[in-house]
Amino acid sequence: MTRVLIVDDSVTVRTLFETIIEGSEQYSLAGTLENAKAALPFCMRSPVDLILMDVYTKDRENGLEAAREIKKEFPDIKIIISTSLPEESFLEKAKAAGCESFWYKEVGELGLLDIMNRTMRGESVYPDTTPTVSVGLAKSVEFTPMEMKVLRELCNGKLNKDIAKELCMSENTVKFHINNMLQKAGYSNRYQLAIDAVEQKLIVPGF
Amino acid sequence: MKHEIIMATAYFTVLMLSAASAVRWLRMRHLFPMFFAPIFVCFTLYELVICYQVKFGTFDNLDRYTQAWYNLPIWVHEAILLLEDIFCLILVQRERYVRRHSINVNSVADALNNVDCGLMYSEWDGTIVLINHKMWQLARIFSDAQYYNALDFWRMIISFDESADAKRIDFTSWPAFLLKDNTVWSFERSILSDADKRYLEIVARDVTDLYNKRVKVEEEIKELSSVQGRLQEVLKNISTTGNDEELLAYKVHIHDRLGNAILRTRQILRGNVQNFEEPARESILGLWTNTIKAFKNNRLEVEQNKEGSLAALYSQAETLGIELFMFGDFPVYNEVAIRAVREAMYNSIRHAYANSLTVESYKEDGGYRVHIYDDGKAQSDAVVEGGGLKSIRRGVEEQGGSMRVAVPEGVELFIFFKEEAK
Repeated sequence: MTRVLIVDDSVTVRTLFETIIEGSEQYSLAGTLENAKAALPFCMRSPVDLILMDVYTKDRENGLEAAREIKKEFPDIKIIISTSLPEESFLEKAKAAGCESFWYKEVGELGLLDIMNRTMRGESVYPDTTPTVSVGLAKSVEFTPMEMKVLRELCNGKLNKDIAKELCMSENTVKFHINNMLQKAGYSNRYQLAIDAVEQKLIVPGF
Repeated sequence: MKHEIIMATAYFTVLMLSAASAVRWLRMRHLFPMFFAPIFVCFTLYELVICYQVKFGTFDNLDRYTQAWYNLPIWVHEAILLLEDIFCLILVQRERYVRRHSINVNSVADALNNVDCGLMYSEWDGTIVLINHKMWQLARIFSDAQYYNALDFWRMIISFDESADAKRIDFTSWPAFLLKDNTVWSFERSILSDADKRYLEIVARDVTDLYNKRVKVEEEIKELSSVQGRLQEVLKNISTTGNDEELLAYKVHIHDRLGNAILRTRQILRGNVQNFEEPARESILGLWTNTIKAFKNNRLEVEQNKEGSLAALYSQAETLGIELFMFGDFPVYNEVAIRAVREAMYNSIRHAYANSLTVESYKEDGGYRVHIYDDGKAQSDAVVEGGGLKSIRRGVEEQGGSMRVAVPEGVELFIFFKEEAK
């Protein structure tokens, strides 16, 4: 039996995952946690084979960061990152943390079980793209990777000069990217753009 | 008729001569007042005398040279008199030019009057020694009173609030006023020091552009603040909104299952299902069990959010495999206190490999003193204040409390919460 740890701040989601796991013959429930930071201490005390890890957990604890630490201590534990946030950097961060799979939460048991089975068979299952959301008049896929980087820093409340320093570019280039995004989204100022990007969960500040 | 024309021209020439002489006499170094002016005056008077002799019928008594002069054509008389006029006019214009382009006794006053700001200089006791035209005009706007003392004038300025012609709109550290003509003037006072003497300087500056730009910037800041507020609100609520959407989706799913369970049960009760054997019974029983469990946990989530809570801490300790002992009055509604225990629990397991965590707390001086320690064996360099402990310290200090971390053997936290935040 594969022992599964569920990390999610929503009781309802945890219950649904528990139901899925208890209903399968291949998996057993090792435990459920609402805070990602508790996952590593849990793994130190209890045997775990697979973790279903939410990204945004209780007390703003970062599931990706917790996954990275767990992988460092317990590289054999397989981790599936599950989230409903379309923030595109999560995919890269999950890969960088060494997580085996990534799953955008869906309502349906087969989707999750399928991912779990494939992950335990040794596959690395990542979606090809992030869910598309609209920011103003633009679709999120219309933004270039560099524009997304600038937008992420903008949503973290940084000024042009700080963004330029962070991304190793000139302030004029930062302005150029912001203006391009404003034109695509049809907004007149950067704050509207940042608010919409955060509201649509395209960017999650601090994560 | 001839003598009347010559008389009118002569009087006009006298006028021009007077004007030119008045201007010239201020500058005696020029040749005109000393030499030409007497000649021109004598000639013009000579012409007037002849004209009066003609007018009163005594022309025949004049000598023959004078009569011969008068009998010359009228254009000769007019030409000479008009030449004098043109000469005087040129002199006046030249004088004006010279005065404008050379330094003289009035240059300082002229320069001060030409600057765009108001200036007032006074002795240390306030006696005005110099004031320019602009400052005089501004002073008249603020008060009808005549000011002879700069200190009185400054007192009037700083106490002035509003009138029909001006309104106080301080937007710098100095008093500033919006005038009726929509210009904005700012008044500044400073001390000028000479070798052994001090003077007061009051300067009025036109800061209309600055004020308009400031108003515009303030409007933009106001607009941006409202946008920024919205952004902050969105950031604060992102977790909630994300969870709400997830919850809604899953609740829809649970309700679908409930509907399915009811539908199948009703079909069984109506006898629509043939061969209702053991596997089918187990299946529908499982469906009901899962649905009821989901409902039960949903209610638990609401209760947990409402309470806080210590129960969650005990539950988490049990899940993580560490014993939690709590003694005394713990500030259960203080979120930072709960987080501190939780953080200590994680650190005790990760760094000290502890099996139990003890929390002792008691009320003291209107606050709570909390001592958290474990039974583990921590390495002193293993416990550094990282993100978690730093966050707890910030939370404690924001509430006016204090925190100390000690690593005698295990990990120890001494925290003082000033008051219980509900």
